[in-house]
Amino acid sequence: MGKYLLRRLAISVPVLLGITLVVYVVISLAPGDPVEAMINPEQVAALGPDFLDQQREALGLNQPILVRYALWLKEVAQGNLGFSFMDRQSIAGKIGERLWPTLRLMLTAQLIAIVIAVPVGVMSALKQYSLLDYGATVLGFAAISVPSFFLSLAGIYVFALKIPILPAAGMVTVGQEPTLADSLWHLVLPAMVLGLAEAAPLIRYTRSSMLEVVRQDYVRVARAKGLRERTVIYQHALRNALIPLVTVVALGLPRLLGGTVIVEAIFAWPGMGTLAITAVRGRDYPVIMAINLISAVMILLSNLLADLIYAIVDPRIKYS
Amino acid sequence: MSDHQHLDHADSGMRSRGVSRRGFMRLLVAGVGVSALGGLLTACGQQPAPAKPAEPAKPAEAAKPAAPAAATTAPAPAAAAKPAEAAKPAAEVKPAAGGTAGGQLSMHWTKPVTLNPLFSTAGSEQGVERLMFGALVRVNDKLEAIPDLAEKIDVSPDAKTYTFTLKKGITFTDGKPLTSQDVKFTFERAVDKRAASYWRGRLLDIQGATEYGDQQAQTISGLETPDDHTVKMTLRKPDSTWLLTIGDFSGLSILPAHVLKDVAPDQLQKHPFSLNPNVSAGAFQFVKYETDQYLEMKRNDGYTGGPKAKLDRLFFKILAADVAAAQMDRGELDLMIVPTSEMERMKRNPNLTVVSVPSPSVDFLAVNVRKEYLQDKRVRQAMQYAIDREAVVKAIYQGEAQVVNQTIIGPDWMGMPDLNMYKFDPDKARQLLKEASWDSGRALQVLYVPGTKERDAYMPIIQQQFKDVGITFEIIPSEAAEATRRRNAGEFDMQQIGGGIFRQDPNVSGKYMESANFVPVGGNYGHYKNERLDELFSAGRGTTDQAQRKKIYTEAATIMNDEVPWIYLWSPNSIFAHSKKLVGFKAPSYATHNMWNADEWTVAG
Repeated sequence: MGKYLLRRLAISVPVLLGITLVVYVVISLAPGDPVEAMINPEQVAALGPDFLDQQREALGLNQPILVRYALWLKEVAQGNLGFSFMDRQSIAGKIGERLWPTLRLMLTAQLIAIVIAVPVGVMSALKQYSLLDYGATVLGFAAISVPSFFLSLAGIYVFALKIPILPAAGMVTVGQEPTLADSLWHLVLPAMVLGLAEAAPLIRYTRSSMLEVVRQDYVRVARAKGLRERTVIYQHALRNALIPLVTVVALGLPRLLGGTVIVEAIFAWPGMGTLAITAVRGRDYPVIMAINLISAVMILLSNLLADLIYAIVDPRIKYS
Repeated sequence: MSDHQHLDHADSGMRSRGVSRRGFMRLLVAGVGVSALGGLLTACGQQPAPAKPAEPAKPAEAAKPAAPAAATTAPAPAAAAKPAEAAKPAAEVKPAAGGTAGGQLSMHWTKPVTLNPLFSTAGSEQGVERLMFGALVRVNDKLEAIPDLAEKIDVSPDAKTYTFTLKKGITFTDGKPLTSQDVKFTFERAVDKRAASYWRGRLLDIQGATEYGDQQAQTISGLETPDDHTVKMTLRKPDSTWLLTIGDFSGLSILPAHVLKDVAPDQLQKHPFSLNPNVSAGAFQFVKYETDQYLEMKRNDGYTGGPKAKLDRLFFKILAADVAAAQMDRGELDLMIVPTSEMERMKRNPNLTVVSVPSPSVDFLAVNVRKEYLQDKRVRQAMQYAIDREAVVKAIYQGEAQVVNQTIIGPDWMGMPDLNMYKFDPDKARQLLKEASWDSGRALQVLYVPGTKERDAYMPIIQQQFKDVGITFEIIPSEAAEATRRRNAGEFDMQQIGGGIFRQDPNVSGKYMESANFVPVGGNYGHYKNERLDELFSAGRGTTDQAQRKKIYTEAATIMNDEVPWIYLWSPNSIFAHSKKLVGFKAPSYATHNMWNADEWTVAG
């Protein structure tokens, strides 16, 4: 097992290098120029004709892409993510202050999704083709199909305007001492929107996995032994049915850090998604790269994690 | 670019309309991690809310028509020469009826990149900096220059020397006095090439500024400080619009030298002060900025630059426009710039007041006259005739915009010269095209940055109307960064653009029309060149005589009207909504100046 872990980690290094190289080259080749994106032509007039070139030089943009990549890699290897082109602030700092809000939102949403999805999925499977099953299916498809911006705005319209019980946006009430209750109150709507969208596919996974398991021989044996139905379902069937779900959830982990652009924007949530989109639009290469690096690491780690958990929950799987 | 919002290519702040597939693909290409998808359009860091333009120069409506002309000390355009009088509005506005001092209000705001006035490019940033910092001169709601930290401004008759006398007893929020040394420090950093401030270009007309900025001189020779309260500026050439140059946007805010003088110029933007400007000398002072959430300010109780502000606190909330509208309805927000489409709905809310005023900006289609097929002015005139602008204004702007036929549209002493109106006339357009032997098989490439409701709506209409007269154009939706690159490289036929502060002074048009200002060096997008126009703009800057200037610019307007270097569209109004709680709001012509008199505001009740 230890050896397996080491080998997987060792393989991750070249994969990571490959990812960053490809991303670096692609964003550098994408049309648009970070310096021009920052500056208004009227201003450049005032700054003198060589200003743009000077700025490019100051940002190191006059060098070939591969040289820039090597320099970036060198800094990152030393733990330095660099500075944003746009506001010249440290990227580690920028990411640091957005990490907690993002995690807070995404974890809550994930939790809501699991709490909704597992029971509904199980019931759907046990009462296949019942009204409840159809209901869950229809609602699930609706939740997947309706874009999150619509769900968000509808949520605001209903719960902030028509029945004003929740705040329309924001993470705290502006101008008040922050309290836990106030934070939770602001968390409800965005987390519900995200949680619902997330729950829908999980319901489907749970349902089909459960359907498969209840037809297995060992479930029939359990029933034949005369165990109570409740014991059969929860002790024998459900535990096995949840195994594929572990993978699905684990593979979704990187999203927890990535945030969600649309919902963050609508609810004025100061998270990573907003940072990412601002960076892309401004061609802020160092910020884009930093976010990418984090995403890539998270994805590789969660893949690994999913495999490891798999081995734990399913004793048939052994790594060597 | 302090002028940034003046030229936003339609990509205004955040929009909550999800992701177009194209936008989505572009993001993928640009390489954001798979996790961060979604196509939201946050403008690249600096976008102001839709910088609403408009121009209609209803001559009578505004403050003082042409009056003060020739006063020798007074540069024509600015009310500046008589500080006492200019400062008067403060007295007039008074805490309007029923308002009480104290209390707090919340404003809709856009995410800032920086709060250091030397580096701010967005109107939303400049709007709050104006409240926190002091400047020598500022512009008021009519875009006239008014003194701020200066008690007196003496202008030499040749408009080359400006002497500012600072008010006595002004201190920064940390108690240190604000002196001419702070002014000197600010101007020095602003022109220093290493600092790369957006102010640099505007200030190079000060004698010796270029040399100092390039580190070839120890001081700026044209910037003298004979004592603690006097700043004397000498310009390289006469400029009667100088006070507007240093007063525009939030004005060149004076930074505290004692806090920042030891910071290397190239480190200035990186300095924590940029997001924590806690030492300043304005009517309000910085409390905190919660990243991507809100900015908080409180009254500066030690303010001596004028009457103290009345409100206790101001909050600036970063919200998507749709959500801001919802918060207005709930009474959680007190002021926002309103999209035309929201106007009617907001008018129906009894708790809100909606105000619509002409803005100084213009929407237009820049024409790349480097392409030989666009060099015949009859082709451009035909395009001008081909668009039914009155109908678009009525249908899409609900009448809240005014058609323009060149860009010299103000201020009041200038008015809008009465010229060819280019009334919608497709037959005339076809005839002109025929005379110019237009090849109807040619497809023009029109750059467009989508994302503003009104513009998204009218671009296809223009396309159709062009098609009716035999001009085919292909709308090329681009991101701002890519549109700018193509524009600067000349890889386009036309581009949809909106913005500018044309109403402020006729000279503003020169930034877009003079041949010295070709992009990427200036704002002349299509590299249009007309020697007579160049002469006229230069002559207009060289005199302070208003009557003379009016004559000069009327000729310039006539040329611009006939030559059609751009296809002129209209000037949309600035529309604001504020809660009835906010007392004392005076709608400024430039939308992002909407907090220009926040120190006079009170809360109803």
